[in-house]
This record gives sequence, C-alpha cells and structure tokens, in this order.
Amino acid sequence: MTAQDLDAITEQLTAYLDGELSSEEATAIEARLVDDESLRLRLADLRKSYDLLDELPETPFDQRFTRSTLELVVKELSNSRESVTLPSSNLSAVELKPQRDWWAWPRILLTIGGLVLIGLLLGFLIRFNQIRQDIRDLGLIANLPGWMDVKDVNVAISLSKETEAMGILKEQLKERLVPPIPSSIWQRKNWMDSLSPLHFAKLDSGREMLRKLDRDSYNRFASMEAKIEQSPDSDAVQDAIHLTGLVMDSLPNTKRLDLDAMNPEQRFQFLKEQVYLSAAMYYAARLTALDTKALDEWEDAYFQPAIVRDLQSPRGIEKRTLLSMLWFRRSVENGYELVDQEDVVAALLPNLSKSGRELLEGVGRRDQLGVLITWLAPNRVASSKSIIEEYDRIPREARERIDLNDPQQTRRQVEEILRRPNNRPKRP
Amino acid sequence: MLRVQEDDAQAFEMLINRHQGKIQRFLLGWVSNAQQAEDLAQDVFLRVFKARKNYLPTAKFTTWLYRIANNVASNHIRDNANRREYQLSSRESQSGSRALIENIAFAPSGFQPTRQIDKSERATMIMQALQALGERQKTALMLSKFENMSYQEIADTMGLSVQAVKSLLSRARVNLKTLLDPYMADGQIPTTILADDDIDTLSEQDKGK
Repeated sequence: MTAQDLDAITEQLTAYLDGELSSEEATAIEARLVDDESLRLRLADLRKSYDLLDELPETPFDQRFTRSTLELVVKELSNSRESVTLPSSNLSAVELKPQRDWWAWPRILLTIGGLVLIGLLLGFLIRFNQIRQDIRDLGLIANLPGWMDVKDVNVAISLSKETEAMGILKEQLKERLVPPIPSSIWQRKNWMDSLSPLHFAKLDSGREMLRKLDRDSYNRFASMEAKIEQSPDSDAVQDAIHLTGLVMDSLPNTKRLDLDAMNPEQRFQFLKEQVYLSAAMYYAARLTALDTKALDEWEDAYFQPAIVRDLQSPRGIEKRTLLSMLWFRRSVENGYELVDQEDVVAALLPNLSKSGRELLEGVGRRDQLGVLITWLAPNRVASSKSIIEEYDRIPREARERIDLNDPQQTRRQVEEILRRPNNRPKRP
Repeated sequence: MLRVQEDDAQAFEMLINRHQGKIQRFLLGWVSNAQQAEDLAQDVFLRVFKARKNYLPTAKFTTWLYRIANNVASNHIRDNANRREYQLSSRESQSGSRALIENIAFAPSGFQPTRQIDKSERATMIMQALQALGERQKTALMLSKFENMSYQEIADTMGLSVQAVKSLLSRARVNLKTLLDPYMADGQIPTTILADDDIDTLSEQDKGK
C-alpha cells in the first residue's frame, strides 16, 4: 500500500467515524473492514485517540469571567468612545455604564434647558405672585379712594348704617360702584368677568394709588380692609366706603384735606353730611307726591316769607326771581343759613315722606337751604339761561349800563335794576 | 446575537455565559495555562462585541465565533513565537504540570505512570498532545470534537475546502495517536512539536509502523 493509498484510506476511515461519508461510501468502507483486520485496527486507533479528547473537561461556567469580560468591554468602549450604552444587567456589582464624552453635549444642553426652564418658572412665579397679591388686595384697591377719606373702621361701619342716603347713592351711582368683592380668591375670577370698563378704570386707579403708598400706610389700610371683609355686614360697609369716596371725589381737595385734622367723630359727622347732601340732591328727581305737596304748602306759608325777611326784599317779587336772587346773592352753593332757619325747616319736616325727612335732617344746616331750593324748583336754579331771561325783562334803556362781559357784575346789575319799583317785572 | 447587534447588554451577557466554557477549552488547545486561555477568551468576546455590526445572520453564529477565536489564538501564537511557551520539547521551559508529567514519565518502573496518574493528569497529558498539533489540525479537530461541527461548517469557519478539512482531520487523528501512543503504552510524554509542516513527516513515521 502506497503512502497516498494509506492517506486516502485513513481519510475515509476518519470521515466514516465522523459520519461524513455518503451511505454508499460508508457501505464500501464497512465491506473492507470486514475483510481487513489491519484496517479495523487502524480504525480502532483513530477512534481511540479521538475518544481520549473526551477526557478534556469543559471549562466550568464562571460568573466572574462574565463580569470581568463585560468590564473589559466597557473599558475598551470608553477608550474608543464608541457610542454604545450597556445598560445594567443582573450583575449588580458591575458598573456597566461607561463614562462617555458623548454625553457631554446633551448634558450641557439639558443644563441650559433646565436653567431656562427655571428662569421662566421664576418669572412666572414672580408674576403669579404679583397677580395673586393684586387679587388679594382687590378689596383694598376697590375701596382705597374711600378709605383715604374714611380712614377708620368704625367711621366706615357708622356710615354704612345711614341706609337712606346710602340706598339713594347706590342706586344713583350703580354704574360706578364696583360690585361687592367675594371673599374667596377663586370666586374673584368670575367676579372680575362681570366688571365693566369703567370698573376696571377705577380699579387701575386704585392699584396705582396702592403702589404709591408707603409700607406703614399700606399695612394700616390692608388691616382695616381685612377687618371689614371679615365683618358680617361686609358688603354694606364696603359699599359705604366706596360711595363715600365717590361723593368726596366731587368736592374740592381743600375740603378733603380738612379731614386730616378731624378726629373720627368729627370725620364721621362731616362725611355723613356730605353723603346726605349728595343723596338729597339726587332725591330732587324722585320726590314723592307727598313731598311735593308738603313743599308747595310750606313754600308759600313759611319759606317765601322767611326769604323776604332775610333779604329784606320788597314783597311782590315773583318767587322764581326771588329764589334766583337768593341763590346769587347769598352764595347758597357754598352754604347759607336763614336767620330763623330752624323754625322754618321744622315746619316742613313733619309733612315730608320718611325718606325726605331723613335726608333733610341728615344734611348740615348750612346746606339745608340749598337742598330745599333744589327740591322746590330744581328747574329754577340760576343758570345762564335764567340770567338772560331776567336780562330780557330789563327795559332797553337800562340795559346799556350792564356789562355783559362780567357775569358777576351782570348779576349785581340785574339784581339792582329789578329791585327798583319801576323796573319790577310784569307778571306773565 | 441579533439582540447583541442592537446593543442589548443582557443578550451579550447571555452569549458570554453560553459560550465561555467552550471557547476557553478551545483556546486551551493553544496556550499553556488556563489563565492565558481566559485572557484570550476575553479578547474573543471583546472582538465579538466590537464586530457585532458586521455579523450577518446568514452565517451560523458559532462558525463566526470560532473564526474569531481561531484568529485570536493564531495571532497570540505568532506574537509569542519567540517565547516558545507552547513547546513541549524544551526542557528548559518546563514548568507546572508539564514538569510533573515528565517526572512521572521518567520515574522508576515500579511507579509506572499509566496506572498511577489520575484522571486529571491524563487530561493534562492529552491537552499537551493537543497543543503539540499544528494550528490547523488542532483547530479542525477541536471544532469537530467539541463543537460537533460538520466538515462543511469547519470549512466555513477556517476558510478551507471540505476536502482540505477532511484531510486535516485525518492527519490530526493520526498525529494525535502518534503523540499519545508512547504515553498510553508506557507513560512517555509527547516530545515532538508538531506544526502543520511536520504532518507529512509524522505521517511517514506512522505509515512505517
């Protein structure tokens, strides 16, 4: 047998042992094996040496190997900066997350984003805090003009009890009166939705005033407002403060400044008279039939004689002219009292309606005459038109001496001319 | 492996757990001690992970894995050629179990090794013989024996033809027999370094018997 033959048969025997021969080849080999003992021995040798390899043990499974291999992989990837994340496995003791630089940019971006977010959040919180502060101060903002005049909780409560005057004012000034503010901050959202542009304008003004207050004044007013909001008659008291502020807005500032020197009792009296005066003036448009009748009877029986006495005017002057003269001459607008005013007014009061009586009693003495004149002849109050009408009744030759450029002079001259007997106006 | 391609660490961990034993045994056929085999095995798995994106599912994973292992082992042998750590013939380089085997082999006749050495020592002796085979014979033999690969799969792994694998395996069995016969007969250790180049020589000796 040549070396090539031996190699060939050995290869076939090996392939036979490895199961790599086709069935035909395997059959052929098996046939030769039957007849050839040396071939059988060679097959046995080949199998024996091969089977010895079975004695080599498989390396036992080693968890430590797995762990150290994963660590090696992580280390290598970190060095190579390969962008691969190995999440944690059941090898809890192994830190599998490598420190990678490619996280740097996302981290920076996240940090910047976070800072921007924090900034926005802070801005929002500051703004929200400001809005919340405004909402919390809403009562004070709405009432601050009134508080500047009222200045005292007890004064405010006392004013709220002057229900007749406050009722008329509330009805008359309802368009300008900010509705009662709910105590709950959450209900204030709906409350704000119900406000008119005029209300918002007043609230803006109140907020500006609030911002200009010093800390002590703010604390004082806020404390008073808090007390009012907690009182059982909160709505009525807040209305009274607000209405008082509106009434005082129509007065000259000099009168408001006088309030600073007053004690609470004096201030209440003063504010009450102003409130009643304003309400009484509005009442002129809603006099009842009872009031009108009483006023007419009283005018003829008491008022006109009293004016004639007071002015020492000649009798027979028309009532309308007389009132105008009184108005101009005595400056009723700035307060005027008849010599025997108390008796004259006392003759009227019992015949007035309850409202009329209360209003007239609430008005200060100096203003009662102005109220009565308004009630008696609201359309006869001196006006430019009435002056011109009076002027027309002056004889033409007498008019030339009148300087129309000076209203005060004109009034005096008209009054003087009309007082002369030959210039008395003719009755219509 | 497909999950490993998606960077699934747990899948990779499972892969290591599943193949670590066989890979280390495979590498033990190339190096002289378990620690070296372990180091090389780690290198194999590292390369597997690095090359995971190149893996094509059309190829059998073990074929791909052992191709990497074979490359790692071959490179290691070439890098350490001068050290001749794997040479059985060098008395000067004897150490550890090899010295033990040799001592046993040269012991007095009253202490004949065939009956006295235990199973683990026999395994060590067989491993020495395996290491003494040439690289390609050794690889083909181990893939056939331990991985139950067909000739075709071995051919795919080693980049050879089926006929070449058939020839390699035939010569590997003959050479293994030649290396182990003296030991199995009278306890002599294998003393010949067998590279693939030596195969013909060995085969000639075998034929002469």
